[in-house]
Amino acid sequence: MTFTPQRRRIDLRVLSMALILIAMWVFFCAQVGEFYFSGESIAKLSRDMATWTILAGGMTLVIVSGNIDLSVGSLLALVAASVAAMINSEYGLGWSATMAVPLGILIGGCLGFGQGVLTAYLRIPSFIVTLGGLFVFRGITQKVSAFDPRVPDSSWVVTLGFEYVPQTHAWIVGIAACIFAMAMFLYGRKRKQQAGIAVDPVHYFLVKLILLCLLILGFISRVNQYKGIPNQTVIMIAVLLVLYIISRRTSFGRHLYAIGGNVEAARLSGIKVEKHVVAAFTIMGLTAGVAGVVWMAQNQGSTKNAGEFYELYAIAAAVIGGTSLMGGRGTIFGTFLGGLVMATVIQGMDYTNLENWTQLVVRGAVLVIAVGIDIATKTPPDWLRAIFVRRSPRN
Amino acid sequence: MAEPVMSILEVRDITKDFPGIRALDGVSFDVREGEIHALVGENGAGKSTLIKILGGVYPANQYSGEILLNGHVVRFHSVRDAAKAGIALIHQEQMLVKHLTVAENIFLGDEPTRFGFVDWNGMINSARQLADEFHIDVDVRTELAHLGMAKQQIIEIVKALRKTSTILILDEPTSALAKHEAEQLFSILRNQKARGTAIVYISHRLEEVFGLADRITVLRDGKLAGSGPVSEWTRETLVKAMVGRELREVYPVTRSHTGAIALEVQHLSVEDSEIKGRKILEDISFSVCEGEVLGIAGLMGAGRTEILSTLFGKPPGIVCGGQICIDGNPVQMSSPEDAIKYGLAFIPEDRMNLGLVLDLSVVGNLSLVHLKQFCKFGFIDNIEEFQKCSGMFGRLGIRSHSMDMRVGSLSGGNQQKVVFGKWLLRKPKLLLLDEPTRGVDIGAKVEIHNIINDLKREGVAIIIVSSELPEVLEMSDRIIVLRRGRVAGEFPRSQATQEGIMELAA
Repeated sequence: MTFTPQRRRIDLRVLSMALILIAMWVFFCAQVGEFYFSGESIAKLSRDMATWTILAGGMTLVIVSGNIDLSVGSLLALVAASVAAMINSEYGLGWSATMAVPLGILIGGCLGFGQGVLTAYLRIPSFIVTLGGLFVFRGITQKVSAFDPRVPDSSWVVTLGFEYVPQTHAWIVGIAACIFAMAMFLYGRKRKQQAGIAVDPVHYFLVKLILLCLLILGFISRVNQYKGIPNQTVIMIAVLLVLYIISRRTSFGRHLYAIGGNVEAARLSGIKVEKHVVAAFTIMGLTAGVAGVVWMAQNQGSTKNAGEFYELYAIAAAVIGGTSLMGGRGTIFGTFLGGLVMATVIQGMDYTNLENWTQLVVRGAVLVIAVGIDIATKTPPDWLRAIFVRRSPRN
Repeated sequence: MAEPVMSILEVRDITKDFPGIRALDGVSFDVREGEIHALVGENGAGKSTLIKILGGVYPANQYSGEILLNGHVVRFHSVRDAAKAGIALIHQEQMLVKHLTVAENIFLGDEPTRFGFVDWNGMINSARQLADEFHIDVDVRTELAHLGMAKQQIIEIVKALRKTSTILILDEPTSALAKHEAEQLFSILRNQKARGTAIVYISHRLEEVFGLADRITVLRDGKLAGSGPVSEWTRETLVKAMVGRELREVYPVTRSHTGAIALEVQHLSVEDSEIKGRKILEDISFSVCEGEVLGIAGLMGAGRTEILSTLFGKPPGIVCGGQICIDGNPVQMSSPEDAIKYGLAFIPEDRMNLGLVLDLSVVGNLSLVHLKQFCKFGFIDNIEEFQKCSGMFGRLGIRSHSMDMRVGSLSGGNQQKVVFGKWLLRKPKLLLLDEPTRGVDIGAKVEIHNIINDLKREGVAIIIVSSELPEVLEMSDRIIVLRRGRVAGEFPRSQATQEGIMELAA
């Protein structure tokens, strides 16, 4: 058989995830009515998913490396409480937000680093280390936020939780993103062609590009009918983009996949396994810090039970998005879709005024069903395979 | 043999399709009572598919054709059905639980009970009896993980035979075994044969097939390529039937000019990290020159793999003496990163667990070691990575449909070429090969030997460890023989013979 370099076309799992999302949107729209697709509803959906989807992004790296972090909900709370306590002038330190915010994120990074060291060098399983962290950080949070620290309206950090990117700016951002995407797509395509690598057919390429631009511009035109893009959404997308680049375009990211896939083979390939694991936990800590700041901003302060169960939301989003708990598999884009699925379920059920207990039941069911579908598409039935999956050769 | 011997198990016109592939195409096959029937063919020829059909792994509605047991048509819907009919399938990969004891493994899923509870004493006693019966020297209460590969393999067979299986199917049982261990296995198989068990035996090692089998059937590309009693076959006709062409020489021979000493090991000793004073390697000294292939021969457990992993910065215990010199300078190899920095490359014996990340794509695996080479400003340049790696495809003859395929879905030979490829993106100085052709079909084997010879010509120093003595003999310029962690002797190529080596090794 002669070899022609080529890349795969359709990712069946992303497709199935997108179909699940669309099905849910249609369902909820039928339940809720026109309001479901209004600018306000969409803006709030994208806003409310921010905190734990940020966590889910960092979680993806940790899970890909073959570990898990159960402490992130508590870590978020601890950062939120610390930042609030630093800013609060009545009972707290009364520092400016410009000082407190980076410090808070740094606390997150340091604690993540510490947990990474315990996991990688002392070889305590990450499940145990971070289960411990879950309790320890929550305990400290209770001490720090004993007086329920509030943050005054005058502090700029509050705008992160309440303000929007105004309409005109939103359009500029959206159009710039589209142009940037187009430029990157074309540049990549041209380089591939120059290198003699088979590229997608033109129509497929165009559909992909146009779909992406339509999604961006459609989103912006909708949320502009309300107040513009929520600041939390912007932060979430920025964090996810950075994590995406780390996971896909750096050797560090690639090495995490190798470590999670086969730690011994990674070691024998000269990868410094321990350092990578520590770095993954540090990044997780930093993202928990960012999420903590956002949480604090949108609640204008902190409470003892901030971010409770968020570690589980984050894990759920990552897993729904196709991240394997065994390590070695998972993408940031998938996690984003997983976060969107979770957010859709949570918001949709708020609209339907179901009692709280039913909401929990449905959330759990969605997690299991989504992962079930994912596993079913991993070994697709023959008729589905015939449509989408290219035949593999026998050697 | 009296001619009209009844076939105990027969398949007729089996055709099995996988999506897009016809794995078996009208194959008929049978095995008789008290017979060892060898099934040979290159990787992907359909051997595994055939025995999985026999063993009930593929249920009866997924293929066409029929299976006859003692002359009656049977339909297996599961492995359980096949097992009930007396067919035991021993897979290439072991199906034992490493952290259970030998006795527990033998009786797994079928534990003897008293009053509803596991009868531990009864179990251990009957396991002991079985061990005696099969002449295995083992304490049945040891955890399986503490035993060597050979013992584990034999215990798997004991487990299968305990349930009075009348048909035993073995898929490459010796691929992980050294010669004397394989002999141990063969004597068990011959005993079973004498008792009337029908045995289907798959192997890549042709000499085994000739020594053991009564009949040989060859599959090629899912079709029957020949079948007959062992007396009708010669090595040449067999190879020809397997590959469909004549291989002029199985071992290509290259002479090359050797250069300066690339690696010198002086008085290297490694001590077991758990048992104080037990030496895994003792006073090992040798050297390799640029453009030279040094073979390391020895029985399994003699320290062959351990030498390589110590050189590569992953000693199996504590290095307690000696010195490693690269280009005449003493160096510290405290981790694989160090070793890679000094230009070492290591192709481990167990490519599934040590060589490859099966979930990563072919490209991802190829670029794993030298990923930094493709980074610009800290970011991977995908296109350059892709191009360099596809260059490897041509150079090594890797056959894969796409670069983005999971490496786990390639055949054994192609996987092994990927392991080679990941070290060759930058020319290594010293290449350590541990069983480089294990579990690889004969065509890929020749290709891998050619790759090794090419590297040798380019001046790479090479150390090769192999359980197949002919491979060591033919590939190496010099051979050192290990016995129980010590160097027992050294031969130049011209004086090395199988007998001479075995005498020193045993």
